[in-house]
Amino acid sequence: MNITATAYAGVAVTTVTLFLIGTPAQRGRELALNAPPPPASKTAAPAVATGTPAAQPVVTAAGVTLRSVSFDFPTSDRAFPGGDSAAIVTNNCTACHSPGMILTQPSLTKAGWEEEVNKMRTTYKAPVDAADVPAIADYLAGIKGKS
Amino acid sequence: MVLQRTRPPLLETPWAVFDRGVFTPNDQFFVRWHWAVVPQHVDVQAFRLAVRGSVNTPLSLNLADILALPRVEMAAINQCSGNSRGFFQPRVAGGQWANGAMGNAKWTGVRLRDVLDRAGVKPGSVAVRFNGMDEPVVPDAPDFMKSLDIDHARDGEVMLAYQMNGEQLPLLNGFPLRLIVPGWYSTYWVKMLNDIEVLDAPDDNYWMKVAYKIPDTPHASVTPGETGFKTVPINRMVPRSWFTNLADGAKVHAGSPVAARGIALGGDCGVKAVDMSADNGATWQPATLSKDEGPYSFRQWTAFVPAPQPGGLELLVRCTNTNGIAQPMDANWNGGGFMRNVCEHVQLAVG
Repeated sequence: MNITATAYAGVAVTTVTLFLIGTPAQRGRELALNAPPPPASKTAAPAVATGTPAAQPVVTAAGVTLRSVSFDFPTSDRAFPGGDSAAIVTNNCTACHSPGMILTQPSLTKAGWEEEVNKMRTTYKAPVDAADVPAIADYLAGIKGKS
Repeated sequence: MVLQRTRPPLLETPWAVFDRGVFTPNDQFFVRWHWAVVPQHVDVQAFRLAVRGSVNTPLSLNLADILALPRVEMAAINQCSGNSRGFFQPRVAGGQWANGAMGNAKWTGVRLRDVLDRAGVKPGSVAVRFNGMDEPVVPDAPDFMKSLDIDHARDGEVMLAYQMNGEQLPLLNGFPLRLIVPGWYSTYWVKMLNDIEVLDAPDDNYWMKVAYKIPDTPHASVTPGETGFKTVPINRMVPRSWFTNLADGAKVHAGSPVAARGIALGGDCGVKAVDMSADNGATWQPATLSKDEGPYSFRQWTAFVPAPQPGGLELLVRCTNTNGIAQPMDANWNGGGFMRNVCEHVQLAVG
């Protein structure tokens, strides 16, 4: 197997704010995706396992073998800026998605942010108190705002 | 990979990957999940695919049943509806992808038609709905499901893939089964597919009725702020092409040939031609196309500028597909940030 260092090299730099991966957690993903299924003659566990037995079940039919897989999703080490003032978004938003979802968004007006937060509440059923929406939008317009 | 979001994962294929060939390696293939509850373990012996609804015989297929069905292979591009959303002007909310929310693979699996025929679709059925093993974080939020019209589902091209580029799918790309809808945007390519429901009425679930809708206008384009237009579910892909060996600001030598190289896709059909322009579209020269891997695959292209003069040099590239549809010179716009396919350009410095 090859751990593809090239996955990180030569990444196109765009005008969009994108975030290159360099975190150990993300490399974990590369490891997992690069890891071949354990050879049948060995009982090696996949590179990233979640406590499952070393010998993974397989299904073989018509010349193809599929092997059970386990994978630890990476966790985000990014946080919202602003210390205590970020608590309102950390507490209300990150159950469904990591901070990166918001931190990569374009700047919006406060009304635009309210619209986004209300979409999360009403359409996607985010358990956000309606009374918190103005304060959330204020914070978001503070870090990603435009007039 | 370019990390757009950790959870649920949004991972973009680094642009350099597309210069290396028409197939995207599994470990560099873009990833997009809607909901954060994605199984972290798949037991191939316990896995079952349900086929139910408007059928004569509901099925619960295990993976050995599926492997035993007639095997098909197809090269096909999986491109996010919102690929390149980050380039929309004015900007729109959503995943801020550059051009790497896509990949091309050889998919191995079975025809959806063969699976449906085993269950026996009842007369009067109108659509087939697909659901995967991912779930919303909040129980009453809309589970991610997509559907295809019954004739599309039974066209013999739509597949259930268990291999990708000769290997089982990575978990993040939908192991153990992914729906392959050649020529259609990735939103329909349901991952970790474990439930197929034949419907006798149009699908009114949120992900068909409300989300992933596009303006029913040329290029799905409207004016920012415009309202009152009809919308339809996003569907067929449109032609695109890119430079992969030249980036903005690259320096080239005056008087020496400049070799340009890139990839193209036809969309819902093959690539008929790729043309390059060095005079802002006034004249075009045909590019040479590489091996044809099938109508739904990337096609690599090469073209030359014989002897550029010192100064700035802007190159444009345009794909025309086998239905005769060419990329537009002007960018489309819609609030979802969907279906960008404007002719791409690259600005070089000749010295």
